[in-house]
Amino acid sequence: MKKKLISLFLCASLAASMLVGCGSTEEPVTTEVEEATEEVATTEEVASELPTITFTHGYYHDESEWPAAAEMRAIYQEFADAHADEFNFVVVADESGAEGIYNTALNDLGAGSFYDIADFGGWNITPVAAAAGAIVDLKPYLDEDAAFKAGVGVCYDQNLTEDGAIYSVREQIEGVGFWYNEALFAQAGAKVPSEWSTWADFDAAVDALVAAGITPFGLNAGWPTNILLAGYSQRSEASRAFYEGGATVESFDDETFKASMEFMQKNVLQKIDAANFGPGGDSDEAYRSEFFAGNTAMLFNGVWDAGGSVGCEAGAENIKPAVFPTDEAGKTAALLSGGCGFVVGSHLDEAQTAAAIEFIKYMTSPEIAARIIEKGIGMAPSTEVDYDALASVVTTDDAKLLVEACRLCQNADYQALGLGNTFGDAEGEIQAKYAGLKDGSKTVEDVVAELNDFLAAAE
Amino acid sequence: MGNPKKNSRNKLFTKKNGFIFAFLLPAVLVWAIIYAYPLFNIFFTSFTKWNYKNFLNPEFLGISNIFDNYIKLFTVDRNFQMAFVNSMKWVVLTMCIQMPFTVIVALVLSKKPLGWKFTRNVFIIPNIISTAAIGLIFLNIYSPSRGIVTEICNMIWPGSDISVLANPTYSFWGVTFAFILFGGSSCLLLLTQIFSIDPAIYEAARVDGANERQMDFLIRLPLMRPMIGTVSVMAANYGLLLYNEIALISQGGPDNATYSLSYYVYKTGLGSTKLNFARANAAGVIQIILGLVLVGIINKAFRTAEED
Repeated sequence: MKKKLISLFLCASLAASMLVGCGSTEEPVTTEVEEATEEVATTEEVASELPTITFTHGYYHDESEWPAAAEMRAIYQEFADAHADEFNFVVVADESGAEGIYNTALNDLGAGSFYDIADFGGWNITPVAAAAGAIVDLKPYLDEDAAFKAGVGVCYDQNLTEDGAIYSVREQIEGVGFWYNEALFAQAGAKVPSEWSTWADFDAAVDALVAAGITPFGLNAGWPTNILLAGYSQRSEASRAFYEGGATVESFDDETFKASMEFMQKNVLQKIDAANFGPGGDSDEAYRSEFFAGNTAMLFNGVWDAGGSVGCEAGAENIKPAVFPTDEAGKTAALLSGGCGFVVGSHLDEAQTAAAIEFIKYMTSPEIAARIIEKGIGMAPSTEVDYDALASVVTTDDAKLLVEACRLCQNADYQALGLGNTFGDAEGEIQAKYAGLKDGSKTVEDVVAELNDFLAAAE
Repeated sequence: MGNPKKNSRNKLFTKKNGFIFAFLLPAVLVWAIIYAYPLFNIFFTSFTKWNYKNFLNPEFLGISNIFDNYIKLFTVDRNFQMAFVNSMKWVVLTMCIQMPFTVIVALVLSKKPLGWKFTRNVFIIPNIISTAAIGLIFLNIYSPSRGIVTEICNMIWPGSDISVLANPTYSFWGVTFAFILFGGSSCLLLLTQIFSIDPAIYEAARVDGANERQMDFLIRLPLMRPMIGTVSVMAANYGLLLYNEIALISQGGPDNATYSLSYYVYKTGLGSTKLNFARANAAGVIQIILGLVLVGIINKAFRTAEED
């Protein structure tokens, strides 16, 4: 009897635990966003009558860790405060960053929801979100406001989809050229990039540096090498045409692409020893540290690396920005990639959508653009920015370098998207081939055949 | 004589069976909800078109194209083929390197030589720290600018400047050595098995004049067989499911030379702008089947289920 009672009790306990586990809790599960929304609603009485819109971003870092993040949060909050009597603009920092925001959005889309407005940085959510009908087309708003259109600059064309919509714009762009160490060029007796006329000058400078025992650049099977490939791909009309069609490329069997890969193999990768060719992707940043330590002569990275010059062993006074030459004498090229940036959910009502658009206009205004550059945060897409005026305003050395780098990118004769924005997933496949090209285990023909196989598999 | 059908039904509905069902029910329900449903979901969606274009509505490929995802994996998808071959290699390597090494360590430690407890504890350390930390440690070991491997290679072969993770051949072994020698957990299980052997058996063997080597081969190893089978299943599955080390050390590169099936599933499903969930799920199904086959083969080889 006793055993039966114990068994009965255990059964009942198990069933009860299961019911408790499966049942819904009394209290609704609140997300960080909802909590923040509630906080605002309780602290401001008027708030309940105003439309509320929540903006999620990835600038969560402490000021000591990354001052730019604090500045961006201040910019957001100033907008919220300035419009406090029109709408509740709730600013939420997601500590998982832009990648986390992207992943959350994917999950939300599966459940049929989306952010009110979020900054996705370089993580492009728009193809999947647009296919699910979850986001707003910003093109009508851009077309009716010339200042707004000027503020988003290259993002207008870059983010224009095949169906004629623009689902995202950004307040910052990745302006990319390269940096060089003037002292090392002088030591090698090489012509500095500002004096280059064509890519032949690049080759001559690399040879001079190598002959002088100076490592021309550090690379890895990823970012910096991709920058150089993208830069070299802007050398002629034919190469630019192939590059521009990267998103819809059906075959890599193109003479200009083959020439680009051959250049990468013979004139770039095989010019440095293996110790200066680290692992791929973002897993090794030795190419940066070696440059700022004064051990390599060139660094292929964006304008934001002006900050790296501060107190560096190479000597801040030796660090100079440059953009790529072309094969058209004297003409230059730079990479300007907007990426994804601000995306607005289509579930918002008219007033909320208007508030979201107002916020994007604010973020892409010339005032905020100038502030982003002055504070050394990055480069703005706005075509209205007067870099000459900014150069006289900024005071610190790294800010001056940033302004100069941005000016060079903005004034380049040819501006193109970065490799990833152009080729999508194929970027990863292209960069995977660098190691084989460097050690000679792969020919350019092998690379082309393998890339074509990738395209067939991805179809 | 009673009705035999009625009798068997009565047997089925005894009070004892009722209790057994009642106890099993919660576990079965939980298993069905959090494991069986996703498993079926993965299986069925592997026969669909499901990517960023139809994120919310997977489309069945149709009877005539039902195996399209599987066919593409084996015919045109080089990354999958590389991942498949690598995963198989890692399974074989765990069986050929990790298992024998672990068994030898367990046999040596079971004799309790001087410092055996310290050695045992040191051997277990890599298994109790996270694979993420292990990945970072090896990333630094292999770094051409900071790591020790390039330095050692330069001492042996001046000017070689080997960058382990930038070379397709070396990087495979770089990832392999980030986990292959770490059999601490398996070693503990094997030691437990050895220590549970009845001392009377050793006594009898000694009386019969057996030496230590004979006792290893004729007593310990045969009696360890079921446990060796169990830890072999665990080790082989680790090799088959390898992900963390790859994500942290090589990110599948260079030239996708270190892709594993798990890494392929992630890259194809979530690590790509195409979000090709259907293809990733097809690879997942193949991985599940491979896992089941492996367990079956290892159990059969070691006759794990048999009692001595």
